[in-house]
Amino acid sequence: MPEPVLELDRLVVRYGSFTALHGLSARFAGGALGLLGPNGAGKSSLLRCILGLVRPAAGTVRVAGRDARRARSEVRRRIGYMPERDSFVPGMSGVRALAHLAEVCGFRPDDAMLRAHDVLHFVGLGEERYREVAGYSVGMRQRWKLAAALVHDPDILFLDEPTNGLDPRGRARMLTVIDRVRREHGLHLILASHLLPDVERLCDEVWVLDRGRLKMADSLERLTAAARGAKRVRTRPEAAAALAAAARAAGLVVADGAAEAELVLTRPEAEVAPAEVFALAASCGAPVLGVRPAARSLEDAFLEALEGD
Amino acid sequence: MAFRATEYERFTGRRARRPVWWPVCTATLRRGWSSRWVRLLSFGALAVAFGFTALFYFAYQVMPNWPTLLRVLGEDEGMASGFPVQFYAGLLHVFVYPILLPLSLLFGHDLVARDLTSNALETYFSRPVSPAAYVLGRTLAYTGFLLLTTLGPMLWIWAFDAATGPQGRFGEIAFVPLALIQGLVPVALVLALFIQAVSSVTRSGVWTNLAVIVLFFFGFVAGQILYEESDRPEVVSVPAASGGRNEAEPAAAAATTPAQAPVPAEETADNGPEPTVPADAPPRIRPDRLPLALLVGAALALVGGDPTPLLLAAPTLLFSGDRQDGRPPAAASAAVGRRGPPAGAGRSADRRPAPASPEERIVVHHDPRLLAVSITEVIRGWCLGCLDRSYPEEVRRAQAGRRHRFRATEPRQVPVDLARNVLLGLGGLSLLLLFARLRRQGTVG
Repeated sequence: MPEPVLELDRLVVRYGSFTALHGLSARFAGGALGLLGPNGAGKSSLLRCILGLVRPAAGTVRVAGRDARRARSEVRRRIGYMPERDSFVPGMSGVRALAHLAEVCGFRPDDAMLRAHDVLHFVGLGEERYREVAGYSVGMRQRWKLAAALVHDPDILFLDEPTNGLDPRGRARMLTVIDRVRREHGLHLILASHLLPDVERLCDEVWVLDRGRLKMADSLERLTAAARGAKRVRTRPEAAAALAAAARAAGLVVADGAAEAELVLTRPEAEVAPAEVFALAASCGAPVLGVRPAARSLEDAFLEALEGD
Repeated sequence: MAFRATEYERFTGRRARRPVWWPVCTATLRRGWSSRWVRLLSFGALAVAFGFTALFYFAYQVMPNWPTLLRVLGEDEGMASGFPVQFYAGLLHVFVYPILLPLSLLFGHDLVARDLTSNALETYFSRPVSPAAYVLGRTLAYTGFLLLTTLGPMLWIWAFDAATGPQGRFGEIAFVPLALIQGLVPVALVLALFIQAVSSVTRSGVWTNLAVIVLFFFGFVAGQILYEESDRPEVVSVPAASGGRNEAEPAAAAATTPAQAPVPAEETADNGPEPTVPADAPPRIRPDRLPLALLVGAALALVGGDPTPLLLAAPTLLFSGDRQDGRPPAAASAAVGRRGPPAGAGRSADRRPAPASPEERIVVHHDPRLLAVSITEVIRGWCLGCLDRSYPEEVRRAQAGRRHRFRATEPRQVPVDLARNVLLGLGGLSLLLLFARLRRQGTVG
């Protein structure tokens, strides 16, 4: 059985008296992991701790079976990190800076330069590679940062808010590039973002963090599977309680909908058929005013996790 | 060109086995060399070196025994013409002040500052570069470049001098390379660390330039003022009435070799009326405590994460005397009851207790140790001291009969041991500060 890509064991990170991560324990086997959470949830702290940029107050981090602190150099060589904020080597052209970063990771100068050219072409900065990075636009800097994360041929990509500041077209292009790298070349991806559609598009596992605690860790498939077959049923207000009771008796999960006298009927891991809804309503004498798919998204799951307190 | 890869490809080549600081080092050199002023000054240093070699060449062509002639003429004129040591001392001045100091600023004023403002540290430290490797790469390149543009030309001049000089010339100047290396390597290293540390604090190339220039300028002025003031009785402290031990007699201090023996009073001290001081004068300044003061202050600042302790602790330690144990301040007690040069460095050969009597009068002289508040004076003291210390004994003995002793050092100069301590302290403090800033900026974000 291969080593999990990431393994956290009671990880605690503190900045002075402020605790950013409270004893996180989780395991990511591989693929694409989305780190979700509101601002200040601890996503960036977790990434920085894995990279060894922040020393944990307690607990351990293992990346591909290696202790992230003891084998720091080896772990960092296998990780491509794209930080959230602007971060570049000053005074160099895009391609020169990228080659320099590849050299730092052990590439020979010739190989480093060749690879820098290739990666810049791949992210769409081929025409701009001789310009100084400081002169790039926001979108170009984001792409350059992605190229910098890829240039030393990592096995794991850590992307911290990769679509920040991008226009819709740039965002779509960035997501496409990331998706291609992941799917075509088997790179593991850990994506920290508060943009749920990005996570939904790229990831197959989600960790929800809030105030330094892990609120939810599940596969995206499972998180949204129940919701995909759910139905929203509208009835009269006086009949809503009877319909809810009948649905519960039939083994369905019942939740209140957004509108008055609206119920969301869900069956874990199976679809709720419209005929079943009508049969239930008939059994308790409740009139059915409308039935439509509930279409619960990752956002619903995310908000549920945050409201779990 | 073959750069048409729109596809991402995994790397299948072999990786190099070089240390991670090496690319940082080469990138630093490239970055420094990209400055026009750095290039100009470097070429200027080379031009000076070639100018000297051309001068040597033509001098030897026209008058092969010109060094001897120069020496004789110098002695006749009453100059302490300790050629060749004084020639190389002069050469040090030529390369240190107009070239090494400006070049160190031009090369490194924004090295760390720009990395901080562009968050390059996060980029480096998320790769296999540790803060130590980063500092090592930057500092090696920085120091190496400074040495290449100062020590290199000086060694070139020396090599030409040795190769083209008359018989016996090599024997006279064989000590010079070691002395130059001993003198310049620590200076370049400390300057590189110091300017990087200042740059990491200011986070701006312009402010680094200003801060260092102001520090050099005011340090120099303060050194001169303190030096002059140390001749005044109310500034220098006095021994206790019970008398003191002759602990740190200055110039006798360096008396381990004939050439380092105390300089006669007429050569060293300012001639004039010798002031006396009352017994209740305030504690004197202790510049020899500067490294300790800075290190303690830096440690406190690091622990507290705040520079205030540094500002408070350094002067406190610097100005405290030896009064707690009832002993007199060393330098003042050294001057008790005897006439002669005041401050020097190192330990005294004469440890006899000074006579104690109620009528004891104190002879006060200028204290060259006070010049140590100036970095430029410290550099001068160290470089010339190294040159002087390396002067071989047999050459000194051969020249002993001459009217003037052959020394590179001068009385108005920071003693070499004190200069070494200050350089050590400054380098250590800069390193601590640099690491603290890198850790804070590069990792916490």
